[in-house]
Amino acid sequence: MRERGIFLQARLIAGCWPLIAALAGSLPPAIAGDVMDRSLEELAEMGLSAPPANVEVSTAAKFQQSAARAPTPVYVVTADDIRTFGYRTLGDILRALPGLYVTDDRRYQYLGIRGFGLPGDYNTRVLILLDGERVNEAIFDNALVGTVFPVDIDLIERVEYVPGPGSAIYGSNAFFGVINVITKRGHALSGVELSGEYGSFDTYKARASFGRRFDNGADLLLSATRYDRGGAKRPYYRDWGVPAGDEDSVLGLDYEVVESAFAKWSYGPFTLQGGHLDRVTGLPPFVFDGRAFPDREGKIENRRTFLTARYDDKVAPDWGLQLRFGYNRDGYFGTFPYYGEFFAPGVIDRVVGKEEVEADWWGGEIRLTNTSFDRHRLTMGAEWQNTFRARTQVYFKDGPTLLDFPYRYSRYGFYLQDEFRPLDSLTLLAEARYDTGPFGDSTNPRLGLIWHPRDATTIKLLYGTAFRAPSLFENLTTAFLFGQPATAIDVENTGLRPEEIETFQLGLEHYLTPATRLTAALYRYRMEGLLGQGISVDDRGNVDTYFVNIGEVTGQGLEAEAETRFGGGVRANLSYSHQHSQDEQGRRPPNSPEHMLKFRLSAPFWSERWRLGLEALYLSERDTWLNRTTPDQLVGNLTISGEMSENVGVSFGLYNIGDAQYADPVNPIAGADTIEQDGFNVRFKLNVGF
Amino acid sequence: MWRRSKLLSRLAALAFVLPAAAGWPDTADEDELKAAYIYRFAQFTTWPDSPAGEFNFCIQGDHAVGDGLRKLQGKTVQNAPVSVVRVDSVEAANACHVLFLHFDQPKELAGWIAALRSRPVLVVSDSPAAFQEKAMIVFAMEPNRVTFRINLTAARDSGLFLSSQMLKLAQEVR
Repeated sequence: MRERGIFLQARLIAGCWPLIAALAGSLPPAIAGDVMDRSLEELAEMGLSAPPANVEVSTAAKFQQSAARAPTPVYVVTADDIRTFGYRTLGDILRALPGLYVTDDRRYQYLGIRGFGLPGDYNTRVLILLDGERVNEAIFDNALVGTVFPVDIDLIERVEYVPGPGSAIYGSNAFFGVINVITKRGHALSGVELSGEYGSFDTYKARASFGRRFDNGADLLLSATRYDRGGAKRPYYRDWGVPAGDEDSVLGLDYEVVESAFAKWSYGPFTLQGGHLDRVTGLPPFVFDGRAFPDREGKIENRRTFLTARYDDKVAPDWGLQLRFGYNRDGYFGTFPYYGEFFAPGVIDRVVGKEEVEADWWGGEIRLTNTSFDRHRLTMGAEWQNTFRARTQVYFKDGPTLLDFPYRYSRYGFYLQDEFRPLDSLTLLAEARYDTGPFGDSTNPRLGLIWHPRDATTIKLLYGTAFRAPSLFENLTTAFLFGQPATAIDVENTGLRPEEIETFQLGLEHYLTPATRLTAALYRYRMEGLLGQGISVDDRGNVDTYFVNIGEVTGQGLEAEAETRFGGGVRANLSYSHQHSQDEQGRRPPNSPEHMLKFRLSAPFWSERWRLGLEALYLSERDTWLNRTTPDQLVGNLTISGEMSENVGVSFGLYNIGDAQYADPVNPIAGADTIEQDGFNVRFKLNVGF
Repeated sequence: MWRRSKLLSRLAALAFVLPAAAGWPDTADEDELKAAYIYRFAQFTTWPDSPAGEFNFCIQGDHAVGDGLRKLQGKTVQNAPVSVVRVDSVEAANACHVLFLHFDQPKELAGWIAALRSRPVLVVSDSPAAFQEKAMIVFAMEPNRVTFRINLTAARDSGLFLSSQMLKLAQEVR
């Protein structure tokens, strides 16, 4: 196996660095033409000479505000960035941001945040929203960031990431941060758009979309996508007992097929949107007695369906009203072939295990905003979720059923918020939310102070708590193991309490020069009642896992980002995150990189219609579950995108340009607690509009 | 390796120098950009009566957008010479053709907009609360763009007609 040192990786990526030097040296002065003479179309296309402080955001406090007034730094990624840097999944977008990293076990992509990304957990400590509505589903409370994310990345208008506790307005799971994915309007497409992609690993994607705004302001977007990844040429499961010379037997086992559709209609204050996603992925071979059994029947399927109606308007002087009502269905269907000496010694038999987990829920939110008190903005809201069907089944194909458990539950949240501006340079934010449900109640406050002492400087102090209620899955697993009656699952018979976290954060936004902005957050947190997995072995040797509130985890860290703009539309961005968390015994959690360094450069290339996006992501070493260490890694990506003509756009992406060989820590399967990641790969994309 | 990267850097330099000669996409300061937008909005809007005397661009209080607009002095809009006026009270705003509001407080914003309702004044704002408060055109800052949304109903109620070019470029029209 080729091993490449991190230094050589750096050299390879540095092969592109001269671009920057060349750039800095050859930058033309800003073109003298007066902005006042530009046409409306030109103004709409024109970039900004400095990173703006007052980008409009809506996720930090649940209302439209300037990012400078938000209680924490807010990171915004736009459709332009997605195109420039050739991002292919939500995971690609997020891994480029300070403090975030993505782990891929070749089933799903998981998000690590502020040093926390336990392999085997399902992203339950971050809340992901789609146009303001919770994506985290109702059984595992998970929301994943890879191809299983319910909306095609091409339909994303922007992503807002708000680090820090968010439970004081969002409730459960807004533990380390909140991510809001905001979809495009039909107007952004203006007509029919066809998109085709081809990439390494036999990957194809095709999308057909239609978008239009009508004369009365009504807007319609329709889109359908099919994505098919054949799988790696070189099997990633080689270490898992596949005999030498027999690698072909596992070829393409990590295939992936995703089909999705999305529709959005808006008119005045009303929006109606819905979508569906179906994703199937193959499984690595089952390993018994050191031998691999590739089996093409093994697969995992995820399905998501959603339909949401929203209303947002001013209903009386000083009163705003926002309503949301929606239906969701989420399903997970796993087929797992097992091999072993089940029935007679010396005879290897095959049985097929099935897992089917499906939930349906209604949910909604009502929010009233009042501005009648001078310098105050008061918000009160209520949110509910009624999971009217949640069914978990585990059985053997043509065999016994181990578990068939239907359940239903509801949870409610009530919150209050006051934004007070005693001075033009000072904003105070006070919020609290009470959440109640069968898996534990919780009250969470959040206090923010945003001070703008000088034009170039904003200081943001934040204190808040957040919680994550144990999921239905965690409760169910635990209740069954302890033989509790299964008619009701709650704190009484599982003993599981919500995890809680208390966070202090100091944020700073400062302009070093008019075109260079420094954004930083220094934070410290203490988690109590972290839900961990226990293992129980009964007298027949059967192993079962259950959940239990284990001790305390403390952490501290720094996220810092510098963004600068040169003339001619060149933007550069450098971020560094340091994070350190430990349990009571001083142990670091697995999959927690201490240092991350990220660089992005976006520049016009060759002509004004072409753009180059260069990205380099460095992660320091990470521990694995089995107390090993994955080496540090540096991955560089380069994308060139542009317009061949007004209606034809192309993008050519080179990913992992240094062909870094690296692995992500994963939940141990068959003795392996890391999985190798993709080496150098490419993607070509063509968009045609009509 | 080193030779290759040297070659690469030369090629890169070439790639970046050529477009410099060809005219790069340029960038602007956000307030300059807003001022330029406001100038174009004034050209693409029809008022119920043509201006008697000067065409008044009004700026509430003090704002850098005013500096951009003052560059227009000496030009004409709607066949009238441009005048840039600072206004500090809503009464003074009655003579404005275009008014730029930048209040932070929704309450102040709502007060001015209510007082000017049904007056033919094109109210433009960059406050995040302004779209909700029915300002006619509201700027929104993106990380690398200035975009705008239009409350068409509010404009029509004041007797203003906004051209389709403006509507086409708006992010949202209500």
